[in-house]
Formats: sequence, structure tokens, C-alpha cells
Amino acid sequence: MDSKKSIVYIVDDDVSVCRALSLLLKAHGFSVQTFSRAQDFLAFKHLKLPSCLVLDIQLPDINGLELQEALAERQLRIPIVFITGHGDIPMSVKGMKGGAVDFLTKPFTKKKLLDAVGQAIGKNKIQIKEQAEISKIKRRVKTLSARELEVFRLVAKGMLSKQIARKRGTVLQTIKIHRGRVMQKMQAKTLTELISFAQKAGITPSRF
Amino acid sequence: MEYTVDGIFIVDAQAQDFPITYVNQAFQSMTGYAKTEILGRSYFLFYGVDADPRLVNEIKGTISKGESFHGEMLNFKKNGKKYWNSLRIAPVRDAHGTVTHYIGIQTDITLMREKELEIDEQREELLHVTRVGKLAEFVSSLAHEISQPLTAILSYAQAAQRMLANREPELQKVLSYIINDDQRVAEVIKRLRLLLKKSLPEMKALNINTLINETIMLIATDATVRNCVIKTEFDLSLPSIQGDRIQLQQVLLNLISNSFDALESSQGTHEILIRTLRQDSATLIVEVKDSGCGIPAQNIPKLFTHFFTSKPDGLGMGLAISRSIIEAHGGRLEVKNNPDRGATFYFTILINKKDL
Repeated sequence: MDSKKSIVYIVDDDVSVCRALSLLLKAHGFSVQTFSRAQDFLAFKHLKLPSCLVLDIQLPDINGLELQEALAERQLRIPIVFITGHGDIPMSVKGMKGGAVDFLTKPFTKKKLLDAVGQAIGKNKIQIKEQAEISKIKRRVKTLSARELEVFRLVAKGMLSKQIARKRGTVLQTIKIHRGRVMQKMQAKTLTELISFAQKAGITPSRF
Repeated sequence: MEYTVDGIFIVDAQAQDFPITYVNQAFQSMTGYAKTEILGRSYFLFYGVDADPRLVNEIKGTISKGESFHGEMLNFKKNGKKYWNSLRIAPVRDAHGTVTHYIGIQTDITLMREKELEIDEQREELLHVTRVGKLAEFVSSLAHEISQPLTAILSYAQAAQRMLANREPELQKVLSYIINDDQRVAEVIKRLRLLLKKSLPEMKALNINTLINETIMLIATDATVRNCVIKTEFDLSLPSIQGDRIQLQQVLLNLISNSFDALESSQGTHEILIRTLRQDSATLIVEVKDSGCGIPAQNIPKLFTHFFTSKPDGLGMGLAISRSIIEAHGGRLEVKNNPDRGATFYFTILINKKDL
């Protein structure tokens, strides 16, 4: 794994735990940034690198689960590996429901930590790729004219060119021209691809 | 005399063997013998063969000295059935002061005794659960404290191993010993945790007012000894809640006995008020209010943490456990000082969904 280009954030109020985990992860080639309070992590300006968060549940200011919620509210999508002194079941259920990658009960072995961190960073890479694609599609959508955007929306809804023409009160040929331009500007090779772009750009509701 | 519910009997004090000369109807039904089987026979036969012989001798001894006897004993009917007998026997003297007869009254108190036993059992069960709960909480917070440095040690050693990769085989070996022993401690903690695993609450539909009344009954003796009066102000229209009876009793008991302690040092009436009220469509509030010494403001944030106590013989577990029980029930346990004096602990609890 090209762990050099990824960063692991650690939030734990125990200084020694922070230092030890940091040393261990650095010894395996990760960049590491540690925080002793959840607030400090929230205030930190995140680097645009594949990353993950190793997060202690019991923190003095706001607890790990609350930090998970705060991150979700800010739409900061960073995979979380929870570490905890108590292996509390209701807590782990809540954490996993919130999208945590893993739940490690202290003390945990190097293998468990590296597996979880590796998995979390892998997940973040996919998230970043998806996010980049969505931005790219949204940029393309911005190049459409108002008329083209409307045709795009109706096509994406599954309407045939004939139906659109009737609805718009124009001839079929005009709609076909708009539609061709939409395909071109959106760089879609097929209709299926165009429809998936519409979902990713939030033009039609996602199926999920 | 013939038709009271108390059994009445008269014994001839001057004949040998204390023969019975009179019994009423209630005595016959209590013992299960008919009058014809009783009269003329020794009174002491009618406790039943399994009656405690030491107690029988004590009664004989007491009345032979011309003194009154008053006590409770387990008796057996003619058919062998047990009953609890509350017994009073007094001597009757003639003009010369000689004891001529004994007159006795006995009451069947079996039902009362059973009720008391039931309360004792409940109290015992609750105490046991509380003790186990305290131990579990203690172990769990201890385990937490220990697991922090264990995590650090394990990671330091593993980081060092990585840093020394393919070098210093002797040092590598030492590091692996450290790692092994760290994991040994971790294993011990894991086993301890399993051993004292908190049982999941048994959620049932409960009436909160009934539950409070039952709890007050359990602690009634304690209240009397400590000279405290527990008053209640219930909203009788409340729907049932969803909870574990024993765990919630544990919380209530803890809050009430904290109030007892707070009242100990205070002057005036020692009164605790327990109120139930509705908070909103889904939750109720239970308040335990006392007029005791209150809580110093600087202690309030620490009050619910483990090992925090202001009592010389306290463990600092009660409120931490109570809060974790209430939170497991989906509620919150809080405290505020009253404007006049004393403090009020209050918790919210969810209404049983079927009642919504």
C-alpha cells in the first residue's frame, strides 16, 4: 500500500496512547497527526489526502460518537476506526450504524490496528474518487443551457424524445438536437451513462 | 369471647401437665382439633410435634414462674400444616396470689409473616444485584484505566520491533516478551469483564407509581430508623413505562438513601418528596427531592463519575451506576439544588410504546 501518501489522524486524550500509536503507524510508513481533544480535530484544516480517523470513544470534551455526528453534519466524510476501553455493545452498534469501519477494544494488536486503518484508508480513497467524479459531472452540468438542462432532466426521468417534444410543443428534430448537445457536453457515450450522471449530480433522485 | 378471630384458651395451672379447660371456636379452627380432642389434654401438645422444643421449654419456664409470655412461633395444625402463631399467655391468680389458671390468646399471623418474608427476599435480591453491579462497575472502570497504558506499552514495543527490523535479534526477543506479557494482562482483563458482564435489562411494561411504592416499602425500616418521612405526589394518570424492575428499584433506592444521608446532618423535618409527572408525549419524570444539605456547586460536575464520593465510607459508585442504568433505559439522570435548601435528583424514562 502506498501509505506514504495517506494520513492517519488519532484522537485520544491519553498522551501516551497517542504517542505510542503514532510511533507504531509511522514505523509502518503512515503520516500521523494526533489530537488530545475532539475540538482540536474539528478545528484542524484537513489535508486533501486519503485519510482515516482513529478515534477514542471516551473523550473529555465531546465523546467520540458525538464527534462522529459532528463530522457527518459538516459532511466531512472520513472513515473512523473507534478504539475503546470498554467493549460496550450499544455504543459499538451506534458507532457502526454511523459508518465506523471497525471497533477495537484496548489493548489491540498491531495487526488489528493496521488491518482496520488499511481498510479505512481504502474506503476513503474510493470516497475521494467518487467525490471527484461527482464534482467533474457537476462542472459539466454547469455548461448546459437552460433548455438543455431541462431536456437532460426529462431524458433522465425516462421520457422519450417524442414525448418531450409534445410536452414542450416543439418538433421532434429540435429536441433531438438538444439531446445530442447534452450527450456531448456531459461526455456521455450511452443513454445509461447519461442517466447515471444525472443521479450522481443530483438532477434526478438516486435510486439508493 | 367464643366468636373472635383470636384463639382463646384457659389452662389449669394446678394440675400436672397444664390441661386445657376451655378453648373457643377460633382456637379449634386454628389448631385443627375439635373441642372434644382438646379439653383435658396438655396445652403443650397443641403447638404440633415439629414446634421448636427450645421455644416450648422457654414458654413453660416463663409461665411456671408466674410471668407472662409474649412471642411468635411456628406451629403445626392437626393436619401438619404450618402457621405462625403470635402468642400471649398470662397467669390468673386467686385472692392469695397463687396462680390458678393461665389464660392465653393466639393470633394466626401467617399472612403477615409471608408478606414480611417476601419483602425481605426482595430486599436481599436487590442488595445482591446492587453489590454485583458495584463490583462490575468497579472492575469495568479499573479495566478501562489499565487498558490505556497497556495499549501504549503494546504499541511502543511493536513500533520498536518494526524500527529494529532485521537487526538486534536479542532486543527483538525482549520486545516480543514484553508484547506477550502485555497480552497476558489483556487476557486477564477480558476474562474479568466477561465474568462480570452486565446482564441486559429485562424490559417490561411497569407502572412507575407502583414501582416507587414497592421501593418505599423495601426501605421503610431504614426510613424509620433514620427518622425520615417519605412523601409521594403521583400523577395517577401516567401511562406505563418500559423498564427493568430491579434495575429501576436500584436507582430509586440509591437516590432515596442518598437523600437519607443528606438529611442526616440537617435540622428540622427529615422529609423526602418523590414526585412523578409527565414531561412530554413520550417521557415521564421522576423526582426525588430532599431538604438536606444540598450539593456544593463545584461537586455537581463530578457527581456522576466513578469513585467520586463525599461520604467517608462511600465507594463513589451509586450515582455512576444509577446514571448508566437510566441511560440504558433511554433516559437521563440529573440533579439540581433547590432554591430554598436541599437537592432534587430527577430522571426521565420512556413511556411504554403500546401506551402511546
